[in-house]
Amino acid sequence: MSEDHRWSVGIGTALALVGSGLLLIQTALVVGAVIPLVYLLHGVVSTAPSDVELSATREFDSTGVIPGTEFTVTLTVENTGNDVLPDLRLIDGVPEELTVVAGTPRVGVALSPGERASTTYTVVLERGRFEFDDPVVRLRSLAGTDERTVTISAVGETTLVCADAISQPSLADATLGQAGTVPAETGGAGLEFYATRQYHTGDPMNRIDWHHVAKTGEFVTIQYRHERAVRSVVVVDCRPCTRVSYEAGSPTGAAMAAYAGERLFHSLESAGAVTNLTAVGFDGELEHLTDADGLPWLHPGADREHSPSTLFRGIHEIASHRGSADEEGPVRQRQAKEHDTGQTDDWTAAALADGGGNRERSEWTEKLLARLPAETQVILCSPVLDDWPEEVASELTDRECIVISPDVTAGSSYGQRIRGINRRRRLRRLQDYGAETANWRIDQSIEGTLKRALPELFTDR
Amino acid sequence: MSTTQQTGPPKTSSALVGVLALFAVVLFLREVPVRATALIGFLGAVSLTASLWLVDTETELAGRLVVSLLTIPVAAGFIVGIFGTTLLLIGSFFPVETVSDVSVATLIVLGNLGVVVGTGVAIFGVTLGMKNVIAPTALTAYTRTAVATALVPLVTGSLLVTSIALREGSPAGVDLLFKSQIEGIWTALVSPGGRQLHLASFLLIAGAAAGICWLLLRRFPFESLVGSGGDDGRQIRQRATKLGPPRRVGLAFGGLTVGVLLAELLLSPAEIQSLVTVPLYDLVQVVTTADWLRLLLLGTTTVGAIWLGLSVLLEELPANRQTDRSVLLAPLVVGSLWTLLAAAVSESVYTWLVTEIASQLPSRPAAEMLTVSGSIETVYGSTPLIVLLSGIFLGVSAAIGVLLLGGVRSGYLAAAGTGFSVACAGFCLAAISASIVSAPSWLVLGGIAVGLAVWDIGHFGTTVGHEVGEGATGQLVAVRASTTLLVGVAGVALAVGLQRWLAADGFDASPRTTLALVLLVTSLVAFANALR
Repeated sequence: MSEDHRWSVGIGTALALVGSGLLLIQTALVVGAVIPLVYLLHGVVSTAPSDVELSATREFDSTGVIPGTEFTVTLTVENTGNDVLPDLRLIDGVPEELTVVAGTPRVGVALSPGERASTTYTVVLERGRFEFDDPVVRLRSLAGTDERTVTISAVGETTLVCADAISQPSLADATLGQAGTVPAETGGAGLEFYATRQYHTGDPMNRIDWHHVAKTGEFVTIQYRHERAVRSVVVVDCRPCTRVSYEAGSPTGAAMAAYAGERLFHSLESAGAVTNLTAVGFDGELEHLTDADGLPWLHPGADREHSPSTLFRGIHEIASHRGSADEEGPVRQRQAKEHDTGQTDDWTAAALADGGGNRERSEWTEKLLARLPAETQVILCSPVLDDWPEEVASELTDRECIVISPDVTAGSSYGQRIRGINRRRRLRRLQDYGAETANWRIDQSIEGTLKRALPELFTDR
Repeated sequence: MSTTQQTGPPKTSSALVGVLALFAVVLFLREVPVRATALIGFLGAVSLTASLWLVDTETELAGRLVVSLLTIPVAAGFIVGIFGTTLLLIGSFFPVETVSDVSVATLIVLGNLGVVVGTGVAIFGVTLGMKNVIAPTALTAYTRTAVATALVPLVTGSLLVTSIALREGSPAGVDLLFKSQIEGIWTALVSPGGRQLHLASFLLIAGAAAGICWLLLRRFPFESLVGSGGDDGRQIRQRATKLGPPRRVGLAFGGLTVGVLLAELLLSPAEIQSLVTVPLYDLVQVVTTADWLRLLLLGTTTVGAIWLGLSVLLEELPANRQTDRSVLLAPLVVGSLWTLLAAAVSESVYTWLVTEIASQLPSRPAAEMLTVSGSIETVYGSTPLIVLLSGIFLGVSAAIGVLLLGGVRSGYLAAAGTGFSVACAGFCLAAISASIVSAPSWLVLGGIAVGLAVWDIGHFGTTVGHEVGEGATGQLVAVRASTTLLVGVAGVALAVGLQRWLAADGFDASPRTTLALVLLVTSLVAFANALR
């Protein structure tokens, strides 16, 4: 319990009035000092109710919802005691991670015995499990000079569970058709006919096309299509510039990219594909998860300390931090530099022309290329809010590259529209580099998006 | 949890406070003979609040343009509301028939002026409290805009007047006038003579010096001087500013000055001597009229003010360099247009201004004023003078901003709901002043009660808005407001009853009754304080 000495102003007012009254010989002013003193007295005798009995009930409108959607919570408080509560202010214990976008989790009422009041508010969900704390109540006296703060336990719903990727059905229902091996555009050991070539000394006898020898007398060797094991690397882009959302409370682009990456990673693993996982944007954060070059790298069959769940938790933690969309990508920085130096160069055209060589790469691109194993399929999960994915794709023209891009530019503001136009242009340029792209709209499921955008990769069992 | 939380009071409490304040202001204004100038003053107060709200919400060019334009009604409200009202009141109550009536007429003028100023301050406080915009950032932005708006006419007018003065020289009459006025101010501040106590001017100087010392302590670069990462410097600053006395002395002296000034105006030295005894009177007079002490205090104030001004300027310059140019462009454009307008209508405005002021003054000062103004116009011409005056006119808006900023920076106006505290002070001033102009007791007592109710409901609304927000707080506000008003009505009823009882029992203002009342109130205060 605490006291607010707010009516001490009454003492000052009373003294000022008495002083003025005596100075000006005005009886009205001298007796007027009674008014602030009455207020002061009212403040002194007014106390907050000591025997408070309150009950609170919390209700959710539904359960098992998906990230980014709105969710309604109703909190009802009832005065179950016998005292009138003239000034009751209550705040619900909404988890820190959730953003209230409509209504208010706060209530301010005067409650008679048996009376109840309720408030309804809407939060935007993020993935995970959230525990609501008990509501905190502050009671004040009628004059506001006496207050006490209590916590009341709320009955009803207290835990909110929102679409955990691990617990969801994986993409196994639409798994990779090429699970296990993938045919390559080179001849070698395999089963499928690929081409014939002139016999070289040392070629196996069983590869010689004896029919051809019989017809023409010329020795040729049969080549079969080379088959190699699928090795995929899932790259999650959670650089600061991707940590923006299209409206308050929505997951950031990086968080959605991490979500897509997690779903894909588990699908690929369950399909038997050798899969690595990494993320760009760990700028000195969560150092225990990163290697010396600043990239976290998850090898197949990693130990428990470096398990996928540990790494994904770290990625989600970083991806949920709000960043700034104003940061420019390496291409824009380069163009700005060229503008400053007076040199004009169409980077994109040049990049397309030379196939991605002989250009200054950004730090993250350098690190990533240094770690990518040869002959890997790269799955880049990025909201494509700057030119960095474009730069990476330009370096990966010799291998398969898939870009899964959650759309966080779906708003109607001018800024979002301009960002949306830039993003679509970038996605088209990514396709020019030979990358396959999947544009994941926030109102669609990741499964549906992948099936629509990359039908050749997924086949229904 | 993250959520957007409003900081202003909810609409219910704002509406209640607004209606209550408006009702009281209308009743107070019925007691004042000059209402047109008071209404212009109110317009200025509302314009000031609107400006502060605009600079807080609109940072684009259009917003700054409107704020620049609003500096004109703000200045007009202040100048017309105070000086215009004073002039009209002087015209109404002067000249007087006998010398003994001068003090009575002066008191009535002061009373009426107090009602106008008090209600104007109350209007400003209420509107400010509703918007809750008395933040340092908003005030700084407003002051910058006002300064930039006044810059063009001030600089242009000063250059024109200076160039003519250097070329033509000042007329002898003007020189003499200014010289005598400057000498008068110097004598009053540094070496006042006679049997007067001169306590009010001494308190003013001492309060200013103490306040400047406190501000110097706050701004002194202890961190830079001490080094070592600034931690020691911060500790020294904390200790120095926690010393408190300079600030408290400044505030106490400032507050006492008004009361003492009134006492010195109303009572003769002999009466004061008889009240406080001759030895004490002489002792106080030795201190208050000591030239060396006054010079020391004035020197401290001047040096401190220069140091503060320079340090603020040096801090502001780099900040202004980073400011968006469009933010400064709007006020400069408005200032330029204002200068052109002033130059275009200078002749007719000068004539109207001189005639209007002279018509309100008694014949002798009016004749003197007409002579001097004629000489000034002959030498300088009306255009440079009106351009300079238009700059000074706009500069008043900037000065108001600086004063408010000083109040906020010193912490006095920094708390939430400050606007309602300002409104309460305004209503109390209006009520006290109304008692001087023989307003009915119910109005005086009602004004006090309304002031306290506005303060309480306004502050309550501000905390509710901060803690709960706008949603469904009407019932809460209604319960509290009705309680506050009921207590106020009870207080007024008690005061009226007490007044009638005292009147019926043959109350007169004899020292014994006064002393009894003082003791009664003091004991009530002590009792109430002890209960806490």
